[in-house]
Amino acid sequence: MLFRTIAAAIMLFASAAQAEVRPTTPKIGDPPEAQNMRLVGWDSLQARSAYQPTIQKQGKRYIAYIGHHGGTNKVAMPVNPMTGKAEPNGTSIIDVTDPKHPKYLSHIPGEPGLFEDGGAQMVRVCEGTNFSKPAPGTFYMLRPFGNSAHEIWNVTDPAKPALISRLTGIKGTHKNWWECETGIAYLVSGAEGWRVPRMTQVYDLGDPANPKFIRNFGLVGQEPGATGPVPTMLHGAISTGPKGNRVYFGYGTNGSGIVQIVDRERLLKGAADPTPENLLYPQVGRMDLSPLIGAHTTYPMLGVPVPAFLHDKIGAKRDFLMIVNEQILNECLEARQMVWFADITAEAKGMVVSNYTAPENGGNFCARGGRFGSHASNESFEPVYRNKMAFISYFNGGVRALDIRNPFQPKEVGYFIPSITKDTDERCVKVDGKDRCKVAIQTNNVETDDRGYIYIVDRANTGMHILELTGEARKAAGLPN
Amino acid sequence: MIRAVILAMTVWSAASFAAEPVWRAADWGRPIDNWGTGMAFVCDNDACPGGARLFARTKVGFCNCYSGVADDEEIDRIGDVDLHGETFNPVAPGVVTEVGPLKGRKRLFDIPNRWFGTTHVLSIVVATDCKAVVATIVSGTAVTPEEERAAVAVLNDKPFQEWAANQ
Repeated sequence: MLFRTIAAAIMLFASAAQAEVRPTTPKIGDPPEAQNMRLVGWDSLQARSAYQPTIQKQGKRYIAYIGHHGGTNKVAMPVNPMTGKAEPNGTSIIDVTDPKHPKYLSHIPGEPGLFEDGGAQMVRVCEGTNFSKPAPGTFYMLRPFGNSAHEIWNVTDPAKPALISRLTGIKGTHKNWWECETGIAYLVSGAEGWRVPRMTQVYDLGDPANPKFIRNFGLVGQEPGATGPVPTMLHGAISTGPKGNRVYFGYGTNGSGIVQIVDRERLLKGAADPTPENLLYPQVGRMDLSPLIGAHTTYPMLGVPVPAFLHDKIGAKRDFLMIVNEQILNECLEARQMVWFADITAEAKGMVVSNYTAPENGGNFCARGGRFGSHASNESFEPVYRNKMAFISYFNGGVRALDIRNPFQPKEVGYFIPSITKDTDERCVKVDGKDRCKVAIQTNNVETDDRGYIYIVDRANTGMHILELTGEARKAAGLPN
Repeated sequence: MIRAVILAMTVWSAASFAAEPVWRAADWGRPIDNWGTGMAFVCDNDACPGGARLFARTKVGFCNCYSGVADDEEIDRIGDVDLHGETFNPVAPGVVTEVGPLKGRKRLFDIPNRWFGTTHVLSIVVATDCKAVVATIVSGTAVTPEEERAAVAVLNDKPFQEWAANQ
């Protein structure tokens, strides 16, 4: 505990220095690199590799749920200091009500395994108020169990989570979406017979103890019995629920990406047999991206008033989709993955209208070690940043804050690259057939809460950093000074 | 007499050599994607009547790190057949194969074309950890066991091995 307090104090002090981006490989003791973003608090997450953070307001408390990858070659099962036992990486639960002093509440072990083969990478949380079996005041957590199952837990008391149900019989998982307003879930699974290990299984989880299967779904060519090219596999979906009646699917990570826009009601009520006709029935738009980029996160930004079009009779407000690619290979050994903004006002004919990529030069990111490029955006729909600011995780480029009030011209207004610690893991590339490794920050994912705090988690075991905007970025977001 | 024997041996040797496919380096010549270009070879001697081509490259982080190329779903997903035609059909279920220490599967495909006839494809995908070697033999005639053997020898040969080790 003392070490954590000291470490947090050092990081806070260092953050205040607002260091410039350094063009060298980071060392332990270096301050974070930041512009218009400031460290508020930190938790080590027991030095577990982290994928997805989800922040849930539970009564007067704010709880952070962090999904973890499997273990590493060096530490397959880190010790949980709360139990004294080595536990496979799973889900960390932290009380972040006071963001300066996050309090680790519990760790739920995941599936044993290393890297992408184990853990419980993703996590979603809903209050059961509007579920088909209403349960106001009851909070449920949905998570994958490695690649073999999905689980629902009761986390009303986040210090004492209790397993409710488990969906098994699958061979892949990834980033689920759960509509808290209905209980409908779009699970990323690998169903038997499908030609990709990640496709969609739609379930009604509104009665978490009794999951109800609705249908399997994917792109034509992925279904059982198809032949020919296999469209790239699903990464995840984002639904706007019954009100928006759209589900945005992102397929591919770092190549041959496909964006699919689906009519939610047709998806839920259409014929479930996975024939090509039935799979196409709910589709209202599709964008096939360049072979050089994927479609990792597809975040809708709807009804955005474009400042320059204020007086236009038609199209003054536009619908956009922020498409975030995922960089996979270390040290820039593939095409650059970045952020693209597509105008989907005419959703059957969407087109990319702008892009953002963090500047590599000056940061020397390709040589720092690990991945450099985009990975994910915050996915919160809370008004505090909605259609104003977006936060993009950029691996060794930390998190980047974008002013997206005019999506035709997104603009970086801040960034934060955490300091490495003794726990930060190394990343390797092959040189002359041998591993050459470097220790580097690998900011994997980012999420925000309704107070405006920004949570970033590190794939290379550096923990969770809670941040806030400062200066011009804070002003652009309309936050009080 | 000795000269006659040597001449006879030379003729026999040349004849038997000509019956073996010989792969020589060629341009990649396929559309760019995020897996980059690999190494390409052409066999245009008598042993390859269809003018066979061999394309080989690595794909890192795309395959199943745990089970490797364990079934036809995985070879269909990872293979490069679509680089050579948008529409293709499997000829038969795939079978287990090996390239050196790497294990995986191979599968035959046909790519029909109304003007140029059918292109025959043998897709070979083997993997270790999260790294796959993807090889594709493309020919105007059915891919022969000799062409396949010679192609696997190329994959096991030093130039390709050294190149793949650094990907």
